[in-house]
Amino acid sequence: MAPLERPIVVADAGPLIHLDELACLDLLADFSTVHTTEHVWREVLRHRPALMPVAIAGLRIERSAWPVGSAVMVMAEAFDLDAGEVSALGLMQHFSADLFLCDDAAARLVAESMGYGVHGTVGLVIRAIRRQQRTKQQVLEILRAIPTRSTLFIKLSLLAQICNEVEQEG
Amino acid sequence: MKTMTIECPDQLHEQLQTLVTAGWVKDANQAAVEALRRFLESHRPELMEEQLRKDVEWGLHGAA
Repeated sequence: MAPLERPIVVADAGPLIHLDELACLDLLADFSTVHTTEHVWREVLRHRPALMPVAIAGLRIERSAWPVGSAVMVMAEAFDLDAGEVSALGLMQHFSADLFLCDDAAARLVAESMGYGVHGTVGLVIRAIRRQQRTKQQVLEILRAIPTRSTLFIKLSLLAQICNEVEQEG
Repeated sequence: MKTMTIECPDQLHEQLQTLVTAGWVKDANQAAVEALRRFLESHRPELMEEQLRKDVEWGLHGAA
C-alpha cells in the first residue's frame, strides 16, 4: 500500500525504540512523514545508540522547538512528563497533528486530554495486518517476542489475551 | 517503611543534589519518594490496560 498522506504523525521515543528492538521500524513507512523532536531523538539514541535516522523512512527530526500552551504545561508538570514528551506535544500542537505515537501512560493521558489520537507500539504492530505490511502469523510472532526482545513492559496475561484477540479477529 | 537501593544516572543525581543543596527538597530520599508517588499515580495498571486495549482496537479496526 502507498504511504498515507494523513494522519499527520508525531512520534515520542518509546515506539521508535521498541519498534527498532522488534526489527519493525519499517512499519512507520506507511506514514508519509513521521515528525519528531531533537529532544526525543536524543532519548532514542540513549537507548539505541546505533540507530540512524535514515533507518526510519519518512522520519523528520524538527530542529525548532514549539512550546506548549500554559494549560498543557500545567498538565505536563502534574503528570511529570519528561522534556522529550513535552517537546513532542508542542510539535503536535504546531502541526495540528492527528496521531501521537507514544508508549508512556502519562504522556498518552495528557495527549488524549488534548483531543489527539494516541497509539503505541502494540497498536502499530497489530495495524500491520490491516495495512498488509505483515501477515497475522508474523504479527503474532512479533507480539509474543515483546517480553524477550524489547524493553516494552506488558503484563504477560494481558499480552496473551491480546494475542488471542488478534488470532481470532486479525 | 521499606528501604530501596537504586542506581541512577550521574546527571540525574547531580540535578537532584542541586535541588537538595538549594533547599527545594529536604533530601534525596524525600525527592525519590515523591517522584515514585507521581509515577505510580500516572501509571495505574487499569489505565495502562485500557490504553493497550485501545491500541488493539485501532490496530484491528481503526480507520487510519
